[in-house]
Amino acid sequence: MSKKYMLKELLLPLGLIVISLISNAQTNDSVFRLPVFEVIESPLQKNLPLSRINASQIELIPINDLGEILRRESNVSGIRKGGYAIDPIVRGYRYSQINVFLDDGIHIEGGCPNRMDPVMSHVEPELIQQIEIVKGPYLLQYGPSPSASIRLKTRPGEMAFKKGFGVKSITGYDANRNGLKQHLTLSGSNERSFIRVGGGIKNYGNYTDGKGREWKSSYHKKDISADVGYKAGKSILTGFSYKGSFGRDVLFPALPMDEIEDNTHIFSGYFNHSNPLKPDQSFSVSAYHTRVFHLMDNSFRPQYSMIVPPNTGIMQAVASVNTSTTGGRVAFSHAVQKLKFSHGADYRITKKDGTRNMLMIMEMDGQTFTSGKSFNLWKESVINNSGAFSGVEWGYKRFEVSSILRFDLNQASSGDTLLIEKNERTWFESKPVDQFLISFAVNSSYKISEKTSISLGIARGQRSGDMQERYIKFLATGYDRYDYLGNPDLKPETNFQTDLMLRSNPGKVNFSLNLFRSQISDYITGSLVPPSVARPVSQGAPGVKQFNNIDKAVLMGFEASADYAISTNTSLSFSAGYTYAYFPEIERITFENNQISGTEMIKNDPIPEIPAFEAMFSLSHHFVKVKIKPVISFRAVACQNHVSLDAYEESTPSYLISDFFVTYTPFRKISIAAGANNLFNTAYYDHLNRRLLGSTEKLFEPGRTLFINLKIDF
Amino acid sequence: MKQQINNAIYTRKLFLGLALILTIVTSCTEKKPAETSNKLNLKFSHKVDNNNLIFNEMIYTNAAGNNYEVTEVMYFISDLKLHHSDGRTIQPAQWDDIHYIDTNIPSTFDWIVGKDIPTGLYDSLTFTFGFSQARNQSFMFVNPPEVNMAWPEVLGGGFHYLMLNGWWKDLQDVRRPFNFHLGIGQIYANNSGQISDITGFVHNNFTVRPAGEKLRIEENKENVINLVMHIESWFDTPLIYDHNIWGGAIMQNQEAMHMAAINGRDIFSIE
Repeated sequence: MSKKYMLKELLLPLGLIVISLISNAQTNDSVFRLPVFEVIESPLQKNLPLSRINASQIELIPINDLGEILRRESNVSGIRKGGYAIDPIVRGYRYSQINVFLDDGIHIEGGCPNRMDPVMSHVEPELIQQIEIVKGPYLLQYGPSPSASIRLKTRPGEMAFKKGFGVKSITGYDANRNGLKQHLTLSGSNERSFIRVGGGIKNYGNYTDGKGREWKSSYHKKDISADVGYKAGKSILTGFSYKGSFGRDVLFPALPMDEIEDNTHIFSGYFNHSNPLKPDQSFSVSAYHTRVFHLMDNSFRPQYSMIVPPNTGIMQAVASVNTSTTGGRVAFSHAVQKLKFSHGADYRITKKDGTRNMLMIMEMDGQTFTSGKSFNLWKESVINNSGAFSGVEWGYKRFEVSSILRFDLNQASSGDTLLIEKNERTWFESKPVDQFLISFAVNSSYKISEKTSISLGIARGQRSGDMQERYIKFLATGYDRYDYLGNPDLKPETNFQTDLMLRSNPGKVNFSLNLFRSQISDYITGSLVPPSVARPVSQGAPGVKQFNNIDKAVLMGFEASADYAISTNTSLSFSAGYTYAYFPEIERITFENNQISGTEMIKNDPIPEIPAFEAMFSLSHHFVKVKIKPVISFRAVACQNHVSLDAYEESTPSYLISDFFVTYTPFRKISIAAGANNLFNTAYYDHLNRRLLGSTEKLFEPGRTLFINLKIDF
Repeated sequence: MKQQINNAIYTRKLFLGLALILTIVTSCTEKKPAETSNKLNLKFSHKVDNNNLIFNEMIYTNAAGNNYEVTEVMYFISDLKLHHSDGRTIQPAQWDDIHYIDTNIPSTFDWIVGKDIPTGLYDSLTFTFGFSQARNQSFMFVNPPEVNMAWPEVLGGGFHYLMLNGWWKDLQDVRRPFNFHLGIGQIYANNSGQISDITGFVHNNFTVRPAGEKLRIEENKENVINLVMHIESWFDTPLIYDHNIWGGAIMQNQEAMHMAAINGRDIFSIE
């Protein structure tokens, strides 16, 4: 009975959309056009440490995943482990310190414990309308945002209602990887409703670095998506969306296993009500459900099928993980005189379950023996997060201020039966944990003159440990090859951050400078566990680290940018960013004769995996008559010698690379881009690139990449 | 003109800010050196008839009269305990309580078992040869060289306690390989030796108390204890082990492994 009811509920809006699409009864004049879908967005966002990437910046350049495009932003870097799925680092913040979500707070829990599938890898670049990067704990409307936020906007914009029937095709060829991609979107709409379906395929081979060395980094991806939207009356918008992403045989030479299969499903629905006559008043409800199945093994590695010395047996490992995230959000805004209020609440439940199976095949005394063992990676792990926020904005003459307060109740539990006790200390015991989190942000801005403004942001962001940090069991999840063990007793990590921003537009130059300082207490990181307590389970792991709270970490730095319009058609831009990060005090393990010999306290030790100072420069000119726009850019990255002694991190040399491409737009609806990334075929690797498995050598970046992309949008 | 001056001022301010940041960046990491007080280092060596073990030469004869040579010796010891003369039992290996020794890897001959060992006179030390039943878990080592000591799951799982590999000359004077391996033994229905007939397992680990004088741990010093494995002792005292009787492979022969476990109790001495 209830299934029938649910089916009716689903079919009713779909039916309305189809009827609406095929009927022309509704005249254009009778429908009031909604201004934007975005209901809650502070006008003070321009005063946040915020940067935006639009779809037009993504569509014609040869990127494999969204992590690659983010690396072009100032003080944003990424961890490369293979040819796909770069894991973003923003100002040195990483993993769950960054709240990555879609649209109105759709969260995805990646399946891979090695982070083969960071959140952004589950969304294809072709589906992106815009990416917002907020470098600090300021965007609190969409869940706890401890240190930074990345918002992927995928919902079709207002244009979706205006086009009638539309086709959008993006085709690309990458000569370095012999990779071909094709993405096609079909859409139909009238003034009241729209429907959009799309799908794509990517087949990319191994890439070659600047030395001509081939890296096993091939991958295959497919995706499908469907969006429908319906406007009821003048102020109500309802929409549903599905996105599916499917990865196969994605190779990661810097990890012990490769991704064999990754299936992602994202279902979401939303309802927005806004009063066009009173733009400060709005109401929105949204809900979503995301599922990820991740399967990885070492079948592409030689040790899977043959004896590789110094091993005397064959080792086979397979891991599979299922995750789901379900959530909802309600938000409304209103104004009282000059005060603009926004309030809301959200909820999400994240579940994760996974196992690893290992087989060892040995030849002994003339007989072949096979031994196998199954381990839990996660066992029915659940994290519930319920949050509420309330914000207010106020402006007076040249001064504007906004503030937001957020409370979260974070509840975690796991079905783990593992208990590790040693020397009267409990190292791992899964018990339900409730944590109460308080976050707030205050942003103020003062216009010094018509062309110059100064802003100050002060924020406190708090987060609880994630699935990995709380419950992972013995898998190499970090950069250092150690197996990691979760810690259900982790305290929440708290970030106090200050940003000072200066923006000026004196004539043809747009200039901005952002200084920041962040102090994180109870910083969550790994610390070595004695082998007598736990031994590694992953091949190649030298030991086990457990997630623990470090008293304090400090990160500070800057971003600066300048855009100069040399003429109407020529522009030049420059940006630079740097983060200096350290632990005021941390315990380091010392080694003697390849054995752990003790510990020592280190002061002011750099945090590992912090990107080096980098500067970017680009020059473009639009030849209007021939409809050609060449762009040349340079990216200079300094050597990173400020490396962690505690983590035995190695320094990285500097590099300079250049990209060049030309876009040609013969007609308004057709664009062609062709060029070369890493024009001079420089052999280089970034400080954050992981090491090749079984060696100290870092994974190199691709060498010269010739590409051609075609976009057709009717 | 005014605009150009303004631009210049802005640029100057920018560089001032960057210079300030670079100044902050120049602070250095400080290290507090590790303490090495009362360190204990167990040094392992291997002898035959009180002479250093010479590999790959058929120069030894055991109590059963077998001529033999040794190619390699690999073994685990665990659960080390020091017995203080005041009655306390100290477990120094709190950090890593299992140690692997491999004659192919000289760095394994030293086991730094801990620091801050209580000073004084110790009556003796004891350890488990191999692993206790609770400790001997399959897949607890996944990296070479330890992983190569894995004991097949079907034969009881876990890891070899010992691999003593070499050659002996049989009664026909033919040079034949022996794999004198010790681990979990199996009980076979009707002594068939068939894997499908296994009805139970026997844990052959044993406790060793090396012979020798009392030990002294001194303050602020690296205390070294030399532990010598007497290879010939695997084949005698108290039981005479004859390769011609037991053959080259004993992993599936509990009777032979039981003999090895009995003989192994006195294989170590402190020198």
